[in-house]
Amino acid sequence: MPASYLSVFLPALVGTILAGIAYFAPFGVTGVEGTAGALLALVGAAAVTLGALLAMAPGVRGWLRGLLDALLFVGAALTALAAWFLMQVPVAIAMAVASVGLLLALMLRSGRRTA
Amino acid sequence: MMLRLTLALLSSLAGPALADQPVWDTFNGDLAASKFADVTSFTPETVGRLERAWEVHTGDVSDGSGELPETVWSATPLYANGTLYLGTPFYRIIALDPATGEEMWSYDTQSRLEALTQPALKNRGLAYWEGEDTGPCARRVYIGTMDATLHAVDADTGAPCEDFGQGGVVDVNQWNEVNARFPFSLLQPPTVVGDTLLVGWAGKDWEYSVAPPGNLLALDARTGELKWELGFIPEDLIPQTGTANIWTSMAADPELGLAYVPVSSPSPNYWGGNRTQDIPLATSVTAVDIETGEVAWSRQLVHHDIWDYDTPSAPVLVDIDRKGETVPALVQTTKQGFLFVLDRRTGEPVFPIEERPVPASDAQGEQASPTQPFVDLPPPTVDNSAMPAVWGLADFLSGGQCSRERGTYRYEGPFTPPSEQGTFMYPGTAGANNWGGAAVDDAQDILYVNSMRVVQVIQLIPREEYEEVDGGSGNEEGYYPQDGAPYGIRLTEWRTGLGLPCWEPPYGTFSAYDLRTGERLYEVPFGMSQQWGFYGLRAWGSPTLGGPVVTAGGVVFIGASMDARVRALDATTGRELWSDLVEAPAVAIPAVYTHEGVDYVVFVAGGNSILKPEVSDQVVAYRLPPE
Repeated sequence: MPASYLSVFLPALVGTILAGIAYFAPFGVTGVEGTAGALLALVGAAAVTLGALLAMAPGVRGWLRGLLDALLFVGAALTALAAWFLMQVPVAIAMAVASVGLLLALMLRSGRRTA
Repeated sequence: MMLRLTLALLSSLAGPALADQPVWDTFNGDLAASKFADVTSFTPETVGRLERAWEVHTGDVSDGSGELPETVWSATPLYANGTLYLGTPFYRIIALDPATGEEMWSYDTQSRLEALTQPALKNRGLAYWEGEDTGPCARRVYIGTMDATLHAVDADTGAPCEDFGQGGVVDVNQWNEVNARFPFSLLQPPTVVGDTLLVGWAGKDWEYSVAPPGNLLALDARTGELKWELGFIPEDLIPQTGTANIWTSMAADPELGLAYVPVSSPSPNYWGGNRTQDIPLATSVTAVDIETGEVAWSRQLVHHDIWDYDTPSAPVLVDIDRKGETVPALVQTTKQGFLFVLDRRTGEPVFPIEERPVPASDAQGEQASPTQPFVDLPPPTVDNSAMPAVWGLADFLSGGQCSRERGTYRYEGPFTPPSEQGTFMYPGTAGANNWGGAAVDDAQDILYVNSMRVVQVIQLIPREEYEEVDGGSGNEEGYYPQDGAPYGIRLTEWRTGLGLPCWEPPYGTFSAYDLRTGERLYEVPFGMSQQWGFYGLRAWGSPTLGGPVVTAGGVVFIGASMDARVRALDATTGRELWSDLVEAPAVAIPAVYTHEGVDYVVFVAGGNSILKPEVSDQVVAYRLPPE
């Protein structure tokens, strides 16, 4: 059930923290500090984190959940891609794990329906 | 090899032997400008273990957001006298302990921190001299300033050398007597040959048609007195034009008694209707007798230069084993991408130079040269036979902007003249190669060079329209008035609205050449481009500014890239072996030295707005971990 979105929320939270470090780090530490790209990755990771939190709310059902799942997947995958091109590999890995986590959550939900 | 041995012998005769060898006591490492370090500990097998030995921030940095202009710091550190010396863009000398980076002393020129002739506060370093005397100022360090003062201080203490000029300062502007619209800016350190300082200067050749005529000043290293002066503009043309100066480093062969000076273009940069007569020494490499200042020979590399294709770096001196004989040669890298390999005794080509027809100008009053010199062997450092094709990705993302503009601006091959409709300039004004020049392994006769592939658009704007333009001027980009000419100019990189280059990558490469045959051994993309923090693919490379150093262990050290990495490359293949992130692009040539038995490579990460806006005051030295 919604608790399975922890597999999205936790890696996305880690990704948010790491993206924040990349953006706010002292000059010359990450190579992307203060850049628009790093800010985009930070906002993307934070949005996925909040989205995962929202998905765990019991009232989210039907088409709204479907839309949220789609947005979460696209958001996590694109943030992972952005982080990859920022050479922030830990952020990219965290967001890739969030994407896979979402697929796992969907599979679990689908499995329960079938059962 | 013979040259290196000769220079080493002369060096040992000229002054007391230093305990720690090798030194790095000139901008280019030695007078041959070889940028070769005779150290063997740095090898393809070991450099992966490099670690930071120390890191220093000088405090002399400005991003231009406050009261001070931004800084552009391209200073190669000097290692001599058991000390590491830095020149800063605030025109200070800082002496450091080479092993720890600890400051030993500093000297402040108290120079005006104003961008008098350049868009930024610039410094490319220091010069070092040592005589046979003992006592104070037997060894000296020199620094020039934006406002044309040359300072000499004791290399041991930083105290001014009182016998040099007035209390240790020579006002070089005293020789700026003609068309003195701006001060001589001493941004490049003097070249020291024996007891002579060879001094060039930088100015504002985009600003005025009539400007100070370029000259080379030879000063006494002890007293600062003028020994001789050589002008590069014919006397009768001085009322009409100016510059053709030497703003970059020089090389010298003390055995032949010749200095090799890279001469820039006359003013103004992009229109030559005021100077249609022959100016043979402009945009040339010229050999000058060190004792007398007489021109021994000169070879013009661009005729009637209207592209700002200044000869941008010291030529590399190398003795080439060719067809069974040793040829004392020089290799001149150029903004247009040609490698001119000349016999440095006579200036005659070692590899053929061919005059070929080039497009005519349609600008008012202009008479472009009907031919220009071309070199096919060695192959140019960038393929300059045609401009790069439109990059499909940028064209798609810009909704076809790139392909539309490709048909709008003029381009009819290399040396297409600037025009009112706009002309593609390739290579751009910062050149395929710039002040970093090339490095050479004299034993192997192999030349190493980084290059950039940047397309710019140069547009001549009629005077009355230009007066209406409300444009700012940047570093190698923007609006410039060319006062006195019928045109101002606008110079831009050919980019989409999103900032993507409109031309196909790579944007920068690293190459090696066998000078015995002229063959290019390899050419690989170098560095990574960066926009909004995002890195481009490795295959796209990066524009490069700054130069390489090659070591006897088969490793090339280089910064120079937009991505603010410093790198070690395998000299045999160009493959990246090691890299480290620094605060800003390391556009200075690194220095390699041995101190107390330990080999170091030191990078100045000063930045340059041509590559990216970030600037820094960071200096980082690396060494291998103790065994």
